[in-house]
Order: sequence, then structure tokens, then C-alpha cells
Amino acid sequence: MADGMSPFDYQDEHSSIPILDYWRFDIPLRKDQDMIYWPTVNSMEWPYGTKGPVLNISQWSGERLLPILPLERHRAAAAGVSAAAPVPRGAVNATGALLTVAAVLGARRWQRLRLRAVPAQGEDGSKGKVLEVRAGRIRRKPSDEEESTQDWFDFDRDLEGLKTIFLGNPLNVMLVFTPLGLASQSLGWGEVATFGLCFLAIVPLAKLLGEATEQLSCSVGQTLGGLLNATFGNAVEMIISVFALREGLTEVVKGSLVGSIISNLLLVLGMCFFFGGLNYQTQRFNANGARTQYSLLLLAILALVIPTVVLLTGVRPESELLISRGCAIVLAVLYICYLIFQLVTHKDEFAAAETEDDCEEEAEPSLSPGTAVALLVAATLLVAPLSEALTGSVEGVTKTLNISDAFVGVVLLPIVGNAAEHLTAVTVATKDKMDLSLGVALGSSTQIALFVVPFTVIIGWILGVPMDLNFRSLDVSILLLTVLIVGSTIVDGESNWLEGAALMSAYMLIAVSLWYL
Amino acid sequence: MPPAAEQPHGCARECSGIATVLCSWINFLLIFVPLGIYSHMKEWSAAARFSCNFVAIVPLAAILGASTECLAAHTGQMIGGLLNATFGNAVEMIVTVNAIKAGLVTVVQGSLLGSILSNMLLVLGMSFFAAGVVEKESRFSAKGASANMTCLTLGSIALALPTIYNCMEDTPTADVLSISRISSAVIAGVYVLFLIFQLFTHAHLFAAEGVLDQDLERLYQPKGRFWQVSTERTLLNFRPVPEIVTFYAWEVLMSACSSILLLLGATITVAICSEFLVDSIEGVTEEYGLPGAFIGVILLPIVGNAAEHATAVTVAAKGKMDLALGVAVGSSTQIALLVVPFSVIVGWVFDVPMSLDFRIFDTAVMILSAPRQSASQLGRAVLGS
Repeated sequence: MADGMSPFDYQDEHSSIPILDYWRFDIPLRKDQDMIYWPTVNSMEWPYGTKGPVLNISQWSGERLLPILPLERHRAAAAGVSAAAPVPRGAVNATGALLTVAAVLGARRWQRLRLRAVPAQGEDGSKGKVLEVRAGRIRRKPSDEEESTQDWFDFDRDLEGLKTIFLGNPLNVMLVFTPLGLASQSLGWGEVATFGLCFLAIVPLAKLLGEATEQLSCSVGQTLGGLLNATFGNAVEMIISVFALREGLTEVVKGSLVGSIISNLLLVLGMCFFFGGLNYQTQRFNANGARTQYSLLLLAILALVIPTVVLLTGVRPESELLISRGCAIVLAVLYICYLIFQLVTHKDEFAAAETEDDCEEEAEPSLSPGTAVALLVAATLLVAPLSEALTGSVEGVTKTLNISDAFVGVVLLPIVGNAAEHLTAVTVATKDKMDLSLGVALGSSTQIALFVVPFTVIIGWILGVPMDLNFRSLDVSILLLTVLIVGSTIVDGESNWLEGAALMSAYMLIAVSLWYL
Repeated sequence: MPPAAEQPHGCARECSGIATVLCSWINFLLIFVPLGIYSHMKEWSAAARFSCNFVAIVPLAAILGASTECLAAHTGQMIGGLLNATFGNAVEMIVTVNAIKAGLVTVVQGSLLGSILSNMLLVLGMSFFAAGVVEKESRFSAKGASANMTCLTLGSIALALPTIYNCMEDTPTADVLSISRISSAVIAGVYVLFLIFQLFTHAHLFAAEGVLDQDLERLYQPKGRFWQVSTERTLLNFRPVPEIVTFYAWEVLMSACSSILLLLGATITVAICSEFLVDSIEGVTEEYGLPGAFIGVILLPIVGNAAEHATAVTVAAKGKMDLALGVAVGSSTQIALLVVPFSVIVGWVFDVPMSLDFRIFDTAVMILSAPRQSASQLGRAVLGS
């Protein structure tokens, strides 16, 4: 067997071969005298918007020409195969020089396959090669007419899924605080009690929001899923800030924005590195992707810092709001560019070191899209009054417990808003998927800096509240120092527990100086 | 290793060991030790007392380092590392304690910042100096550099926050002090974690790649006294050995007992001289109008760090940039993580208002030099590996 280079010069342009028929995957074999060459297929993908799947080929192998195996076998097999079964084996067909693999119709979307050619024996005793599916399942693309199983609700599966979500996570015990929190506000149990109960109630709701978003993005696709993640991931923070703005607490909102950014960068990242480092000596991640994210983050934070610095010089104090609103619009445009960059043009930069994503582990999402949307809406509807109660009680809490405004805004509130992502990131880090947690932490802070901040300014504009981007010098320096220390940890592409401990200590130092403010 | 038959044993060995440590070029300055004590007793002018004691401490620091190495060689890797970590910074810590007891807070702050900055700027200078030399074969593992840099950045954050806090309006000074004290406790905790990291969990990142066998032959060259060989030692990233004594096998030099004795002797002498030194600082400030901060930033770091700097510069001159960088970075990390919180806690104990509120300029320089250093370190790591 001649491995490696074939006499045919298949270079880059042939490293992915398109397949036009989703029923049969015709992988062209090449015949050269009595030798036959077939590709070693790494994976098969079907990018959206293209006509058909493509095979990614790593090399061509060659062998002497093999006898024919009948093709009809596959058609018969295909007809009788159920929706969830893996692909049956194909065979070498030397007359037509085709290798065919029969596909089965399935559910909604394509997933990656890993294929390899293995020797096999046909029914008549002849030997040949078959293309074997190593992992994954083939699905049809959703826009297909035949047997479109795109249904919005699927009760059996949904019930299972909901059961897993609700009963599987011990955090959901805290859901009991939801009615308690709402009750304490209306029954007047005191501001501190309201704050505490609402705080505890929002945590599991945030987690549910995250789960629902994840399931929805599995069904709906990468781009839309990304957008959903972006919006609903920060939903809790956005809702809290809307209610806080309505009360006129602009300082608290500004503080909570800064706090969200630093809590993502220091607390979440620190805990990921630390707990992951307890299990693994060093964890590698895609330094390139991390650095790209990091430079975007730096850009975003500079965009936040500039209005403050400009206003510090005191040149035109009356145009304070105008400058801030202008910057907010610029940030919003930058955010759209960032989304396009991340989801469309430079997807590969953000690909994990191993190309896995959450959805691939389960064959299909455990919730159908309809249920996921319903769960999303329900969770959001519950979070809204809770956060209203929370922000309403902030003033009372700061007076009673004698904690500073800054501490509540910068330290406590963001922990509530971030709880879901926090838990996800740490769990994923302990499973050695550091790219994912980095993406969550860095991406989340970039989203807050680029999306939530202009969102709050614009909402303030609409509500007529003077929300501007004039942060305190302490906040600005905290942001810059945070970015500095995070940069030093991710630039080498490796992480260990000490870096995590250092990041968490940095957060503690900041919290200490804010406590006394 | 010199063959066992040739080594002197017992008392002779101890005496020759101690003599070797004491009789090298830098120890000519040891004559200033009695001179310094004498100057204090006879109440010479402040400047004279200052200079005598100043010059006296420099060789004492070197001896301290050498005897720590000897002891460390006898006790094994981890305890040796811990010993290095503590006694390596002994001079700075002793001077700091004395200065805080005297209430000279600005001097102490200056000396801390000056030590860190001088280490960093030295690194900068040496990188320019050795810019043309690319050392492919590095004896020093640069993988531990990242952890060092993170801790150094953390240290700068701990210094920056109280400073910025103090600059804001209507923030009471008592709060700055509390913030500094709590921050120091946190940083001291991080130092303990750093030690655990360096000595237990990730020790392999910091051990230098050892000396190769063929170097062994080259290194062991009997020259005069048979145990005097010239070499580059394998260094832990703690305190570099001042190159007054260059040995391959430290444990040959003297036994644990005599190294402990030498260590204690050196420490006590340093304590005495530094007390006299600190006493004279106030006099010097009055007589010559030098601000305390100047003395702190420029002069005092020389005392603590001279031996290290000498090592780093000589090593860089031989082209071993990685080693030099590692020495300087490790030294600044030690100061930022250990000596700084130590000084604040000592101030807490003695009820002196020692806070981490440095001047904005100094803090800014420190913060800005950190990424430059990390870039050069990383550049070396990428080029070298």
C-alpha cells in the first residue's frame, strides 16, 4: 500500500471535495493503471449556504484495484434504516470508480463525521475498502422538503430534557427563593431580607436562562445561536441596569458595569485557572484566539476610558452627555463589527484547540426550540420583578449594613448577573476545555464593554436619565490594571493554578479598596 | 566532584571552607565592619557613619548569600529553597525593620520601590547591552517566567490601588492604612502560594537544566586549592549566588554546622550595621538636605541588591541573558511579594503608619515597566526555545 502522496497532485484545492448529493456521498477515486487511490477523509461538513457537504481530506492512499462490490446493497439498507442510526458502510465500486456511502435522513442539522477507510469483506467473499464512520451522525440540512422533522415541540423529548435540566442541577433548589423574594418585597420584610432573597433567587434563574439559550442555539444554528448567547447571556445584567436607571441610580449602574467586566476577567477567569489547575498541571489553550479576544477587549476598554479622560480635562463639561452618547453609538457599531468578525469572517480564529462544541456531545439538543423559547421567556419574566426588587432595596441595604455604594455596585451585583456563566466556565475548565471557559470569560467581558454599556447609555437617553460614560478615576485605573494582569496570564497560551490564584487575589485587592470607598 | 580521598576532613575542612568564603575580592570591604561599629561608638559625623556602615553591609550580604547556599546544599531541595527565599532577602528585611522602628516611612517606601525598579531597569539595560548576543543554549528555564510576571503585576496592583485611592478626594488616610494592611495580608498569602508553586507543584518549571556531563570535566579543574573550580551553578530562581565564591559542589565546602554559624554571624553583624546605618540617615538628611526618598530609592537598594546585580551583570556579560533576566525578575518578585507586605506588617506591629501609598510617578513607572519586561522575557523564551 502506498501511503502518502499519490501520483495525482492533490494539493490545497482538492483537500476538500464537494459532494452534491446528500443522499450518496460520491467520493471520487482515482484510477491509475491498476492502482486505485482513495482519500483519507478527516471529516465531513456541510457549511450552511452551500450546495452540499464537503469532505476534508488529509491524504491519499493507494492500492491495487479491487473487485467490485454491488451498490444496491446500500440502497436497500438505507431504506430500512431508522432516523437515529449511524451511516451504514459503503464499499468500493471499481467500475464506476465511486465509493458510496448511503445517508440516512435524520433531524435538523449537520454534524461532523469522522471517516476512515478500512478493509472489509463483502458478502461474496471479495475484499475491499469501506468508508467507516468513526464518530458522529449525519443529518439532513433543515431546509430540505422531504421528511422535514423540524418541529417546534416534541413532547417526549422535551419532558426528558426539562427533567434533566430541573432535577439534574442542585442549584435549582434555590428556585424556592423566587416566591420568597417577591413576597418579601410586597410584604415588606425589610430591605436587607429582600436583597438577600432576590440575590439568591436570581442565581438559578440565570443558570436556567443559560441552559435554555444553549439548547436554542443548538437547534437554530451557529450564527443565530451566537447572537442569542450574546443577548440573553447578559440579559440579567441588562434588566438590572434598566431598573436601576429607572430609579436614577446611575452611579450604581456604572459601578456594576465596571464590576461585571472585572468580575469576568478576574474572578471567573481566576477560578477557572485555579480549579482547572488543581486537576491538571498546565492547561493549554489556543493562544492566538485568546490574544485576538484580548486585543478586542483592550480596544473596548479604551473606548470606555476615553470619555472619562476627556471629561477629566474639563474642556467642555456641558457636553458631557453628548460625548458619552456619541461614544456609546461608536461602541455599538464596534459591537456589530465584533459579531461579524467572530461569527462570520474569522470563525476559525475562535475555534477551540480541539474542535468540539457543546452540541456535538449529545446527538441532538434535549429541548426542542419551542420549549427552549418558552423556558427563556419564563425565566426572563421571573427575573424582571426580582431584579426590580433587588435594585429597589439597594439603598436600604447600603444604609443598614453600612456597606459602601461602590462595593454593592461593583462587587455584589455583578456576581448575581454573572452567576450562570461563572458556574459554566468553572465546570468546563475542570474538564480541560480551557478554550471554552476563556471564550466565556473574555467574550463575556467584551460583550459587556461593547454591548451592555452602550445599551445602558441609550436606555438612559430614552428614559431621560443622565447616564454618561464618566467613570471614576479609580474605576478606570482598576480596568486598566485588570487588563494588564489578565494579559500577562494569557499571553503564553498556558495556565496553571498560581495564575488563577493571582487573578483571584487581584480581585480581592480591588474589593478591599472598594469596601472602604 | 573531587574524589573523596583528596578532600580534607574535619576541622581543617571547615576552616579552609570559611576562609575561602571570606577571602575573596569583595571581602576586602569587610574591614569597614569594625570601622562602622567604631564610628558609631565614637559618634563620627552622620555622613561618615552612613558611608562606613553602608560599605560594610555589602560584603556581609554576599557572605550571607554564600552561607545560605552552603546550608541549602545540605538540606535538600525544598528546605533549601525556603532558606534561600527567607535569608536571600534578609538584608532588605533587616534594614526595613530598623527603618520602620525609627519611623522613616518614606525611606522604606523608597527603598522598596527602588529595589524593584532597579532590578527591572537593570534588566532593561542588560537587554540592550546584550542585544546582539542570542544565547541558544540556555541553562535557565524560562517557563517559570510567566508565573513570575503575573505575581509581579499583582504586586504592582497592590501598590497602585492604595495610591490611587489616596489621590481621590474625601478619602480618609486611616482607610488607606487599613487597605494597605489588608492588601499586604493578601499578598503575603500569594507569596506562600507562590512558594508552594515553585517548590512543590511546579518545581520542574524552575529548575535549571542541569550541567551537562562534558561540562563536568571542564569544570572540575584543580587549580591551587583543589576544590576551587570555576563554573556556572545551577540556580534556583531565588537568590543568585554572588560570584565571590564559585563552586560546583557546595556541600563540599563546609558542613551544615559551620554554615549555620557563618549565617548567624553574618545576620547578627548585618543587624548591627543596619541599625547604625538607619540611625545615621536622619543626620544625613538634615546635614546635606538629601530627601529621605532619595536615600531610600537610590542608596539603600544598592546595599541589599549589589551582590545580585553584580552576578546578573557578569552573567549577562558572558552572554547568558536568560539567566540574568531570570535572576533580576526573580529578585523583584521576591521583593514585591515578600518584603513589601513584610514591611507593612512590621509597621502594623510597631504601630507605625506604613502604608502602600507610594507616589503616582513611581507607581506608574513600575506598572509600565512590567509589560516591557514581560515582553523581553517572552521574547527570549520564544527565541531561545
